[in-house]
Amino acid sequence: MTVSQEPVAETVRLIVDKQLNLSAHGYEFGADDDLWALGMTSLTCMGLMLAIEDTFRIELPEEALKEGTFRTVGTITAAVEAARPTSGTKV
Amino acid sequence: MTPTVCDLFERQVRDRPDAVAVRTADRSWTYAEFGDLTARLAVRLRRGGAGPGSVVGLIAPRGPQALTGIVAVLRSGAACLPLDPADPPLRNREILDDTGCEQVLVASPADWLPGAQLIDDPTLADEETGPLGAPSPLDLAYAITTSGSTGRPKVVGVPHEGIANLLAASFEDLDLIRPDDVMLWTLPVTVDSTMHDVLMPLCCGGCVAVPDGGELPATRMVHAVRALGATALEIPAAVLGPYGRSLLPRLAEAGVRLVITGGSQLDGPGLADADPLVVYNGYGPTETSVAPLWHRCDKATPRWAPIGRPIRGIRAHVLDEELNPVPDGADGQLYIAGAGLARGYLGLPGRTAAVFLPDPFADAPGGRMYATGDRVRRGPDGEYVFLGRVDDQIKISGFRVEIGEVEHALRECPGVVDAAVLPRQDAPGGAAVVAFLVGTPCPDDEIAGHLRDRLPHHMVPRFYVWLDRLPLNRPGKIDRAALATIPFVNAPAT
Repeated sequence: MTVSQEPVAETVRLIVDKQLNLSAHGYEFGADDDLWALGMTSLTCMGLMLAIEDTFRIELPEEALKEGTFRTVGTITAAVEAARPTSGTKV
Repeated sequence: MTPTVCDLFERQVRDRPDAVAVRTADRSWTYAEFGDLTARLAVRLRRGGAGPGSVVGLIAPRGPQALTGIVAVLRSGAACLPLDPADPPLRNREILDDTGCEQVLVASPADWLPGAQLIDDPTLADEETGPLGAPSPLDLAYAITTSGSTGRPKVVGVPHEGIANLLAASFEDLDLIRPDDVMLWTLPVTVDSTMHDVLMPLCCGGCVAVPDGGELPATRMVHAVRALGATALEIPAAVLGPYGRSLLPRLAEAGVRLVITGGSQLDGPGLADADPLVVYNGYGPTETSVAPLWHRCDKATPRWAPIGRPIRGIRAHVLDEELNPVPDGADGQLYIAGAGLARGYLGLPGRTAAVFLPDPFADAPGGRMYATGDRVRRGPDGEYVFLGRVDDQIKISGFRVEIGEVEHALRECPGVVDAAVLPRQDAPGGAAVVAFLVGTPCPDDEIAGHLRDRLPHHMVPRFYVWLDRLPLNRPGKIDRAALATIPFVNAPAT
């Protein structure tokens, strides 16, 4: 939709891969692949959330802290966009 | 004489009836209110036969009802046996039967438990407050289920004396709780650390804050701290080790002064970097009353944090295989003696005697010491360091798991001829229990489904790898080092 969204999605993808150790096992995953089905646990989801918040300097609102938000790279990217002070819709 | 948990709580009800004892997002209970609520339920239990020497089951998720249940059972004089409503009914039924539970408290009715007492039963309002149970320090306060290597769980019975000794050290020596603290209850009802976390505030006049249930509670920790005004909480070492550096500054900013951790080896950076927030690492098997050793993290604490030193009333011995003390700095097995010892495994005298040994170093005859199975070393500063296990017990999210119990359950699955289980830190998605199987391959879902009827959820493997045979080492034992390097064959997690 916007130019600024692509880098966010790519950064999210890199964080997900690092936290979940996926490509090290030869797992390929796209923006819509279910991370819970790929083996994410509630513990690694916690690490994912903290890494996302630290990297983008945001705090995800409490209502976003549920399984659905962390299901795919796409849903995480959307949550990051929504939580950023200057959300991408303006570009 | 040592006070019991009941004595300590009842003193707070008398001394500070208007202070807040329990708080949720929706409401709070003063000590007078919570005292009255738990007394009515305790009287109901007593009329059903509960008292010192009996065990009452508690099947409820973390919440105000579970907390009411714990305190009511204690005040009836009985021991509280908390079980997870999400665990297989078959397993829970077996544990209730094995421990002779005649009464069970539940948060909501369950088909398999007809006759269970509802914790918020409206008819309890009409219950007259009569005399409560008066347990002695040697009567059991709680009973905790742990994994057993032969395929059957063991239930550890802990007397009031054990937990009361830890509470006294928590109040007077370690500063783990103050009367103005609000302690956020974060752990499952079924682990013994919950007893410490909730009884500490209730026995010193502090407040227990109970977070809402729901998905991914760990990710909502900082929000819960802010909403409930928490000043202290426990975070399992499995979470704090990897994520403490990022998490602790958030908690300090939200007003937390103290984080208690434990459950497994604490391994991670930045544990003393969120000043003035302090991290205290507790060590101990359930058999020794939650945590008889504590380490206060400071700038000098290494990533692999020490397990600390013994609290009051506790003696720690590092012994070789002949039960001779080893010198400081040398490796040995850790044996614990003193006020924190459990009575043993309920209904299992043989297994109790195998690990609760006569203590040759005791001042008075008749003392016992518990063989922890943990290899440790005592440093020159008097702090003990955990080195590993003497057997193949593992920790999964802080839960003790005997690999033998999981392997036993796997061998009973159709098509499985032999099985080996290994925790793999490097699994896709995060650390996981992996089952290596020999036999006639069948879908993962079938095996996992079979196991879910038998085992608690944290013990069910996430990955299943079928092999032609299990790798063996020279002495003909399963070669676990070889299993640790076998690749995952693109098997999706179950």
